[in-house]
Amino acid sequence: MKKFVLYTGLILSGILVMFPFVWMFSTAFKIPGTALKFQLFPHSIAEFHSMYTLENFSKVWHEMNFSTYFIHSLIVAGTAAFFATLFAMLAGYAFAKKNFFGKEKLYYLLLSTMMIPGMMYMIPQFVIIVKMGWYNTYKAMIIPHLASVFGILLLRQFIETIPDSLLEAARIDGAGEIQILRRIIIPLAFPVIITLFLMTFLFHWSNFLWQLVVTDPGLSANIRTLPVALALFQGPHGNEWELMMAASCFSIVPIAILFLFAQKFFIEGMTQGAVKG
Amino acid sequence: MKYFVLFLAIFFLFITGCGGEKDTEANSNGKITLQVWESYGNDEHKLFLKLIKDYEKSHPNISVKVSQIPWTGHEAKYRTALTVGGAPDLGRIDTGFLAELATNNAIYALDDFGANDVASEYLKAAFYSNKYKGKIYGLPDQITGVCLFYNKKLFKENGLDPDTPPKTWDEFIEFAKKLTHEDKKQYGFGMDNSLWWNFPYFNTFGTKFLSNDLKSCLLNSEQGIKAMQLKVDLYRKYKVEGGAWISGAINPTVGFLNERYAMIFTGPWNVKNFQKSGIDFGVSLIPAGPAGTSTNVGGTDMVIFKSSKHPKETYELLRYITGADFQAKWGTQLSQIPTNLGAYKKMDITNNPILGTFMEQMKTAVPRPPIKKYGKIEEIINPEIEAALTGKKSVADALNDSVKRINKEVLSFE
Repeated sequence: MKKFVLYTGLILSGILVMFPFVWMFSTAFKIPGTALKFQLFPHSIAEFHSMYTLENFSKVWHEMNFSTYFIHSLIVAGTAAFFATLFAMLAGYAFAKKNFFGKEKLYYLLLSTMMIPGMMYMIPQFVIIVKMGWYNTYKAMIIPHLASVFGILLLRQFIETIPDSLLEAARIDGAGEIQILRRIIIPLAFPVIITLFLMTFLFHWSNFLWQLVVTDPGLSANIRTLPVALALFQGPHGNEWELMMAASCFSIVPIAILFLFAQKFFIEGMTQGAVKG
Repeated sequence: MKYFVLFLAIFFLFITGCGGEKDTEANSNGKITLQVWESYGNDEHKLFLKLIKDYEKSHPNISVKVSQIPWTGHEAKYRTALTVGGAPDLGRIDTGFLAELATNNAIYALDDFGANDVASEYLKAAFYSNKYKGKIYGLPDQITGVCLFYNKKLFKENGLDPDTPPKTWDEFIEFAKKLTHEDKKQYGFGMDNSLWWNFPYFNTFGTKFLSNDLKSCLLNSEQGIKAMQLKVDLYRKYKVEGGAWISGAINPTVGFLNERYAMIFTGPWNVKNFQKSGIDFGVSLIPAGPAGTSTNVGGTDMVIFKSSKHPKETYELLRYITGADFQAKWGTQLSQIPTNLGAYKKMDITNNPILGTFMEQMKTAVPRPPIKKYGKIEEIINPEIEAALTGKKSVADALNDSVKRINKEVLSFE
């Protein structure tokens, strides 16, 4: 009986969660202009042809250059996620296991920066970017967010749970710092590292405002990324839903792949540190 | 595995080192390059590029670089670009943004270029949003307004003549009653509730929005109260409106598309969507009140930024874009209302009666005066009108309270 209730509940929640995707997917096939009609199933073959089409996908991928924007987003999100995770790991290890002057004060100072809303950073960071000559470059989209305080927090919390005795033993056996990182810290912290990678990737993949502000539309949009391109479908009066949904179908593919690949680690990473032991 | 990771790292570093170019003042061959930022939809963008190419052919010393920026966030984009002097020569903006740019000295006053002499060329309603504190700061490139859309099929089904839409508010109420069947979830009318969408009601009763010195709001006048009372009665007294303004309900566009609302107010941007979805509909003027028919005005203007090195040439380009020829082509091919009166004569609308209706409607449309914080006015008055619709407040109270707050919190800063 209990199982029945559980399964019913889960199936219903599953349908609820799936519904936006179903809407997105079905709208991507609709003839432009008909997105908001309630009717999903055609009443005849002739009606099918006046309701659905494959054109949106090819139009978005080829004519509207989404294949290019896709690659740009991939570069930005991939690089940023990789380096942010790397730096967070090194910093987390230092804060967790090393002792240096002002360690605690510095850590709390970094934590306090998390209380400032991101929007406040936008103009000062933009002015700095331009003064450094980085306007409209990949550097501008990637580098400002590489020091992720959230990442440092996450990794420090986890690395603290690794017993010191383990590291001492490794040092006695002659391991250098890089060895310790490679052989002990990374394998043990892998769930958390993957989690951080995914979250950073997701953040950059959908970071609209910063990427809009930092890229110059005037140079044939040569490093324009997906979120900015998707916003082009929104006008002052209503949006071009069908094309937007077709483009969105493409843009969720990398995220979906990454999540499927890392889901084992991701779930583990989310619950790590919940149980001490 | 580790070499792969190393390779990836070096690859990414390499990629980020390159990519992205810096714009240099390419003044080769003595050509002047003008930067234009526009926020058009994809069909509009394509036509714009084509018409700009024609301009370049007739002006061989000018090269125009057109960039498409997203409409959502265009204000943020302009603001950040202005902080580093990276604004374009010519930019398309929402009419409500002009006052802010003018106040902050970011755009040229076009009086110096002769804009005063050409003011009469433009549709009054379109030109109005460009005048701020006595000076002209831009020219209108696009204008929209709402008209009455009605479902011809539902008219026929309920014994109404599909070619005779309601001409006055009384007729409107009569027709709407016949079109309402609550049991079938069909309603005669579906309406939006925000100040911009309420202007048709205000304007058809002759209500003035603001005093001439922009210091007080006049919406709580006798005419204003009558206008809002009519609107509230449609929902509460005559029960012909389907509650489309309630958050979470079916909004007017979706309701019309799915034949739940027989009549709605909406603009030219929905015409194609309705046609593609197979709705048999007609468009007519907003029902006339004591002050006749009228509607609201929306749209965009184009402004010249002070950072432009070639303001005179940019002004000429702007005159081309808002000129009779350009606007006539634009209007005909995209079914949009031209801003230039000269274009009206050049367009053949016998095949496009819907566009003809819109053009007719804009002659009696009443625009809003440019003020710095129009958005705040909407924030204040929208919940008040909603309270009147749900019956929590009387119409007079709602309007009086709104006006008090608007005068204090918004207009005292003008």
